[in-house]
Amino acid sequence: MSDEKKDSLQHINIKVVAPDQSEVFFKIKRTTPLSKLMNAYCERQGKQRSSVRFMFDGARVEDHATPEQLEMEDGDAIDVMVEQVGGFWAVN
Amino acid sequence: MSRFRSGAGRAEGRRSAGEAPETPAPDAKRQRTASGWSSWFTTPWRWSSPGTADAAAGGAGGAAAFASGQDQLDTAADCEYAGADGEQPAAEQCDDTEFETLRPRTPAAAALPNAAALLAASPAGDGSSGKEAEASRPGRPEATEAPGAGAGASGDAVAAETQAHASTEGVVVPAGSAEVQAAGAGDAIVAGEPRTLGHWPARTVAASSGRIMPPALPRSPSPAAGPAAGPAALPLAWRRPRRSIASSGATSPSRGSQRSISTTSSSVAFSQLLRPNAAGIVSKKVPRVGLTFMMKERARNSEYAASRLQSSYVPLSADAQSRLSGKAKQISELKAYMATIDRLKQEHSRQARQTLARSVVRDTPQKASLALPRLSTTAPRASERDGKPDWLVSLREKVEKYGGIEHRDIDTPLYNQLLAKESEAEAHIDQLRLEDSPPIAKLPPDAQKLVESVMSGDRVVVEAFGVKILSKDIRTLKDTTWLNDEVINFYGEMCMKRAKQAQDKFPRIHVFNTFFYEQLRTRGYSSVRRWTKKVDLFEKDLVIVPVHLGAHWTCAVINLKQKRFEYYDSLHGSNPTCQELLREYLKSESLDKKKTPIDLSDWEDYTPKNIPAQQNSYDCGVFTCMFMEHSARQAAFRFSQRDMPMLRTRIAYEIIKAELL
Repeated sequence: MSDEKKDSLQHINIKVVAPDQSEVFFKIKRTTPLSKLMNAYCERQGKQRSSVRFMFDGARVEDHATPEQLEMEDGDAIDVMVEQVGGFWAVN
Repeated sequence: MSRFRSGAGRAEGRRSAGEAPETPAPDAKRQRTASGWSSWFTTPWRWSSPGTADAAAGGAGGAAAFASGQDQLDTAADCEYAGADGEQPAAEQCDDTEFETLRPRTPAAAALPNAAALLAASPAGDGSSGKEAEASRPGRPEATEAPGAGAGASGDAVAAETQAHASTEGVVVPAGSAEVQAAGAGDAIVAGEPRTLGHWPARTVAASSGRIMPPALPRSPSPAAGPAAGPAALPLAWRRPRRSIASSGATSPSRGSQRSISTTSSSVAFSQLLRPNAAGIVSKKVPRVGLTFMMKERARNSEYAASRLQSSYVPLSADAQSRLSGKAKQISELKAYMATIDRLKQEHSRQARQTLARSVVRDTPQKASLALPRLSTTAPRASERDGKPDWLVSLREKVEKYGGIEHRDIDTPLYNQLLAKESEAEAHIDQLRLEDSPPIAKLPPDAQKLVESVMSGDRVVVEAFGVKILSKDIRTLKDTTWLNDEVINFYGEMCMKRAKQAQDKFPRIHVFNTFFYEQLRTRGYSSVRRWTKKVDLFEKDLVIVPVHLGAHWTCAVINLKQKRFEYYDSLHGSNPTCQELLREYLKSESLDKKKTPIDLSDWEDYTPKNIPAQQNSYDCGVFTCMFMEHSARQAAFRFSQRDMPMLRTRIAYEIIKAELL
């Protein structure tokens, strides 16, 4: 097996989509915990980890989860959501 | 006449003309003076049986006005409109003057809230009040400009105009005058005797700006205090959001000094014209005002509406009373009352439109301009007139005017008051239901301490459902803080968990997270297509969707069992967009997952407005959690604003324990 092929089996490309539709691509091993990806994204975007939510197919991405566990495929997207708060709607 | 007697059953009120007002009965409940009404209002939910309360203590003006002879009451009965069916209670009579004042009334007054009786009695019955009106009349401003101040019979433009004529020219309208267009004339017939117009006591309802004046509490016998005090005194305090009815999305009418559609009082000729079901479709429009304003309005209006509630009360039969008890009884009474209001509303709008239609048909310039305050009475532009004969132009004008009538907003003071009464009764029913329900389960004794200690910390409080809840998330449940998505989502997860653990007890549910709606709205179905890869929505009973609207939380529910798209907003807002999005979502979901189209044509949108309401600017998240939790077990919404502080602690405690209590 060539190195390239081995690499594509072990690694996976994942894009992280922000609310403004901007995308950041990550290449990550299938067995690496996604916390690494999430921390890297936050660092890069200058965001507090606790102020954003990472969702994959509508489910929260847990720190210890790996792409393998989540059955991610190459090119899959993780959505980043910003904290929502609400209490009142002044005028309809 | 029999309707008055039987419907109200207060024969003692029919005294001979001129008799002095009854002194109040010694019974404490009967001694409600005008100020007593307000104290009653402050504890509105202790709704003492109106049967006793309606016997308001006799005040000077109102009581005397009703000390009229039986024959006059009989005459008044003739005014009942033709369309009325036999079961309708006395309150059926539709007239502005039903709301004329809040002054204490005799039982007869309570029994006859309709204007015809009031009016029939007022000029002849009581010398002092008549004189008072007489004395004060010359000082009154020109009635056309201040219909609220001058118009006695209906507070509308026509009446105002007629009265202005009467007061300036001294017109005497004899009984049987053929002209019933103006309210005053109609009532002259009712009264059965010639009299001058303009006898009415000062109006307490101003039509000119849609404002409701405070009812003139027991009117001072001093002539000087008469009409002058009324409209000027407290207009702002009684302003209420304008409500209007509109069909086919008609917009609010422009404001103007005489924009109310006029209505006559119940007049003989009119009764011939009335037809049932002529009113057209009536739909309420939610006033576009802020919450604070709405809350203040609510408080202000409730006193008035509450007192009206009592005075229009129609007792249940003894049999029905024995079957019902306590709050259940009150609720059923209120429901009957609301039905009456509804009929009144329909009747009123019908009358108003009739009046309008008649005035258009006659189209005498003066009346048309008065009765059609919101219509453009300007001549057609030169370009329109070009090449057309005059008769065609005027015919077209008429058609245009008449054609719009069914779609015009009814915006008389009476109609607005009816709406207010209705919503007040509705709120009252809600509150009674709430009070009738068992209290929400108490927290464990140590819950408060635990929650406080967690809030003050800075740590991971609980880790469940793939989420770490931090102290800062729990802190959003503190006092007046806005809730964040973590709390709502965690709460939704707990609801799902509970439903899964006890499938025999709870409906099958799926709760989406708070980002679902945002994704669906901004990026469409494809962005949430994979959100349900592990769940089949179509085998659920309910799909709960917490909705985030910028700074507001609400709760939408796809009720697959009852086939409807529910929307619960603690501010009683509507969101047809959301319901439409969910409808489209379900269609797409069916095509995608089931490969078959789903027919949702008989699924309805359900946005009830009689749900618990938020009365501040921070609790909507808690309400949304409660809507979710109650929906998840298909329970009635038995909570209210007063429970919110406790529920915040409770939700925090449940999150810390990762389980619903």
